[in-house]
Amino acid sequence: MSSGLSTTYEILAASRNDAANGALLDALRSTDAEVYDGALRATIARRNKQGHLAVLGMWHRMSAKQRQYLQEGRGRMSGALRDAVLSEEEQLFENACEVVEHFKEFDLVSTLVTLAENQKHTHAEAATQLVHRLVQQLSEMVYGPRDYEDRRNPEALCRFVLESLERSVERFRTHNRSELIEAFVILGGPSSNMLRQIIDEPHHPCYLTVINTLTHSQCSGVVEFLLRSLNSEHAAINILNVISKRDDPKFVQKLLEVADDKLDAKVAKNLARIRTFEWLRQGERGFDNFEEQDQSRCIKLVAASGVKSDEFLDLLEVILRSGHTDARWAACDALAAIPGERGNNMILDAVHDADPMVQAAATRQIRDRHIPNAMAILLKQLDSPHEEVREATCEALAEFSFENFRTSFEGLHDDARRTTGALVKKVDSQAVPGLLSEMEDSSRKRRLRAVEMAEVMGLVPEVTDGMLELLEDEDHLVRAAAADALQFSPTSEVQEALRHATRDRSPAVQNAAKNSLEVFDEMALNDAGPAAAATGGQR
Amino acid sequence: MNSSLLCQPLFAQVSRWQRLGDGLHNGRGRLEIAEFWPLLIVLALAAIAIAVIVKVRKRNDMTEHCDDPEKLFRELSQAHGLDRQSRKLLWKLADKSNLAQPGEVFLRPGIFQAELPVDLREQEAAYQALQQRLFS
Repeated sequence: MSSGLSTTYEILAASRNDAANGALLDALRSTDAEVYDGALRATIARRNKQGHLAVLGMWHRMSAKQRQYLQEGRGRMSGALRDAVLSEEEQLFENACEVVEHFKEFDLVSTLVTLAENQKHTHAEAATQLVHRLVQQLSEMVYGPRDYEDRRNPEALCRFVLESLERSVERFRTHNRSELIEAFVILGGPSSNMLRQIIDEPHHPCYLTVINTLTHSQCSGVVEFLLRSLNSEHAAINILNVISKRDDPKFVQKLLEVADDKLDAKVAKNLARIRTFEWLRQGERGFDNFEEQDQSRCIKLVAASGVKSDEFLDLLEVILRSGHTDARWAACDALAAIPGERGNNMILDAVHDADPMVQAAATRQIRDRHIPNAMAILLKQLDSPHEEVREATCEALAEFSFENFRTSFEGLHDDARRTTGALVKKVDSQAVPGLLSEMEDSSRKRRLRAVEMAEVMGLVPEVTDGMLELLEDEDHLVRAAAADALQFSPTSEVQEALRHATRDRSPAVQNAAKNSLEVFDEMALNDAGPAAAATGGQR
Repeated sequence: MNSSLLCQPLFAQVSRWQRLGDGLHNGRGRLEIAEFWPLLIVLALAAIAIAVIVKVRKRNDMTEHCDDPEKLFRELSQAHGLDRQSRKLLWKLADKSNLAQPGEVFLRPGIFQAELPVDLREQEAAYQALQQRLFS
């Protein structure tokens, strides 16, 4: 803008002379863009209702930049805005409604509510819709992320608007505007006593509208209200029914987030009172269309709810069959709490799942569920190419530990010793250290037993060092047993030690050493080479 | 002793006291109105001067709330630092252009050139200079 014109507008904007209003109104009719823009800004800057009304009347023709001028001076225009909202002039009313919505002028809600309640007024319907939209905006401000550019306090605005809406609820019989009740519900949220009162009174004239709004509204305020109700000491059954009926993604997403953390006792108690969820049905909004993370969450949520086990098993079955990987894993875990044949069959299927984590989760449960032929399955799983599965199998066969084998060894007959020993060797990684420890024991009996255990478990090559030390044992029986057992570890070091043992002072040891050396010789003749030596230990 | 010392000078001026109030005494006769004319004229002139000063000050006091188109014209002229000659030209232009109020002349660049009234065309150059000053 030119400096001359700029000076003129500065004077006109600040002048205490009312004649400036007339001059500016005249300039607002100018076709010169520079003159018009300046007049617009100066008119907005002045405290003159007539000028402001003229500006509002031009809103629909303004550019985005010109509308920005209104944003800057909207604080001075509230009086004109109120008059424009109540104006009979169609264009002015429409413009005012747009301005109110655009600038979120929540102060005008009470005026709009009064207008909306007057059913004979031509603008009542439009005012009702505007109240609804404003309340939705305010609800997002209160319950959504805070916009710090807007310095207004959302809570204070909410209290102010809610007062108007509560008065409107009281007058519901007179105006019958259900949209205003919806607006009240959207904004009322958890803090509104009146809302709670209506929910507890099915005969209240607004009850149906309130429940309908709670069931269908996508507003953050309503979603927040429902979720916070779950956290109350004893949520109203009507609210729980609403929660069970809602299957809209926005709400379901928020509901499933409840399962992210450990469930609070109050939440768990209220969830247990919910018998079903609408989204448990398969379909467009069903759990089968949930994201991977949501499927896992929904399993946790349903597990905590009062949904019947058959229905829960249906859910788990579908997820195990066609769900996402994490969800299938979660489904396996959830099955642990549900005994019975149907669950067993699902676990047996899951053992063959494509994902090793799911296989592992299923494998862990096989023994605890007492599934027939469990041992055969587990033995097969012990040789799985996936480490997770092998680890899970070892967990499932935890009783086949070296410690248990050691204590029960004396009571087992030869075949049982061999089969159990072979299993312990696979299941318990502590078998070798355990054997070595036993070989160092001060008790002769235990040292002898250790040699025998190493033989039946096929672990002689792994404990050769311990065996070589036993060849030097003070007890000739132990030395003889070690010399005998060492035939399964055909290494040059062992051969050397056995040759030395042939000169032992005990004839039993000498014989055992000679026998073992003969075995080595036979092996060398049959199949000379390190490969044959390696298999010797496995015999 | 002290009281007698104080009383002596006062009693010494007693002859002056005796003349006090002589002019107001009924016996001296009525005062003529003509005697007050000079005083009245002085008072009247003082009142006129004060009234003029007040009016002038009020006329130029732009901070006072009012609804005065002429004053707005003066306020704008003052803001733009216009001399008497320029103000006169602008006033004449506003008058000939039938503007609702003279101040509007500051918001209408068009009337300085194409819409310049015929009888002001002689001073077209002066108006162009004014337009330059006010709008560019």
